[in-house]
Amino acid sequence: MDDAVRHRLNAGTAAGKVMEGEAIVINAVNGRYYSLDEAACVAWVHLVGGNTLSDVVTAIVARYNVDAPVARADAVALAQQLVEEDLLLVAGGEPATQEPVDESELPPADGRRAAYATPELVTFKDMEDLLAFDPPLPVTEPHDWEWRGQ
Amino acid sequence: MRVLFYVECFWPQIGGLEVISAKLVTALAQRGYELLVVTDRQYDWMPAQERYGDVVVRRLPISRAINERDLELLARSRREMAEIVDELHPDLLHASFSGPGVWLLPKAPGLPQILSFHGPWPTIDFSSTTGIFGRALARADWVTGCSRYTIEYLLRTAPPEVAERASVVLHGLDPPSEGDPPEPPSGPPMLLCAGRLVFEKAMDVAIDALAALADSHPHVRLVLAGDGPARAELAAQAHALGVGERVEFAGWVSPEAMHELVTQSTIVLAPSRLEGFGLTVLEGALMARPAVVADTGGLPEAVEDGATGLVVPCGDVAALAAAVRRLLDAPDLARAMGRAGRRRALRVFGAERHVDDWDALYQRVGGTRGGSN
Repeated sequence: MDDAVRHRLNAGTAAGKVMEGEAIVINAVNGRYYSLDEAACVAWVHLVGGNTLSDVVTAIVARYNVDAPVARADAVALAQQLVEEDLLLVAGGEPATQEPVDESELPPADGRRAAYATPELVTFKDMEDLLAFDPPLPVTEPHDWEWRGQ
Repeated sequence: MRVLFYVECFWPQIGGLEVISAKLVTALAQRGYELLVVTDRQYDWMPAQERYGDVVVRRLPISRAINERDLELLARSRREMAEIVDELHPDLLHASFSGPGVWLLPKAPGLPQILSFHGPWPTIDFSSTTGIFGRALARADWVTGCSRYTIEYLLRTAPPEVAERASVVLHGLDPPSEGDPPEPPSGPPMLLCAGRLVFEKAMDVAIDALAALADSHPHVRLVLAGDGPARAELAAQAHALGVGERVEFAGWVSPEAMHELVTQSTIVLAPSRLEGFGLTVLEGALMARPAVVADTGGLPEAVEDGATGLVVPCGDVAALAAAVRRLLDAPDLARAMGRAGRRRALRVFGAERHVDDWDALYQRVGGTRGGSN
């Protein structure tokens, strides 16, 4: 994969949000939930922000104790997996926006590099099972609450 | 000790877990624990915050966020959960595994966590080390099951090391009133079956059994307490079998109304296809009502076969009908089983013992951080 390659969110299929350093991503077509933590979250933020693969590697190396070649290989593998899951598209060319990537939910790149673990796309395959097995029963009538405090 | 108590459904929603959780937090608060309950806010009209006795209850839109795949709502729930942790600064997190909401539990490094299971989850891969279940299990310092069956079910497929931090905490309830419970009223016998009207509760089997009893006991009534998606189907089944007028759908009932239904009942039925324990059987036993239950899940632990009730093969209509017939035809036997059930319930499943068990576990898991009460 070329260092200049860019990706973008597959907006027709996927939606994502970063919360407390974890990216939660949903594939709206199959309803599946995904999670990207730590370095995977850093990669996600920069990938959907339209940054190049080179930018992704720089952002990871700035935060985690890992050599650039390792970070690059892992980032390539992760990006390919995200494309295979229809969460990202390969964009190429210039980024759609010149706005800087929002890193507010990421750990600061302040020189204190944390221990590195291979970035992983976690698929919550059990979410559908959990939802299907025991869905919460509707409580349609507010008067059901009249017993409150008894 | 400050405890963040997470349960997906809480009072005044009705169900076994809801009832037992409400009683537990009340009793623990009386012992000096500072508890905050976090639960699901299914609808906007549900209060976001209220008090249940001495306990603050906070509701977050967890199920809506997850079911509707609303990332903004999900983020809000998670943010509020983090704020609650910051405000409470808990010494312990006690979470009941009752749905995907455990996903939103705070990461809070160093916060001791207990994860409680209240029944089997047959569609979940318990051996998975990733996913929602795997994460919750990996984070838990201690894992409990509400019956031997529940914990053994979990340990059969969970990572082996989980067995080193797992135990059973049996459910427990107090009798609803002092003194000997009243005898069942005279008149047509009443069978009581309580729970969500869903396939797993097998109330269709109870209706089939009622129909099978029509020749020998044409006046027996069956009361189904609870509600759920199978209600219309069950009503149609009863009508088609010619017992529609003898099957009563009571809907969700308050604990007081449930007590009254148990008092009116002759036998408590639990024909469930899946069951962690069977709290309604315990409610019946405390009122000296014998039970006929399926040999499913924790039900054989709730009923001592031949002593406090009868255990029949799951889904076996003829066996269920025969067991009910046996008790109806021998009132002295039914009475003796009921009394034996009450004695056993008071001895084995008392509320005091239940709270003692949780108190001890809280001290064991959270005591290093929070000190004793």
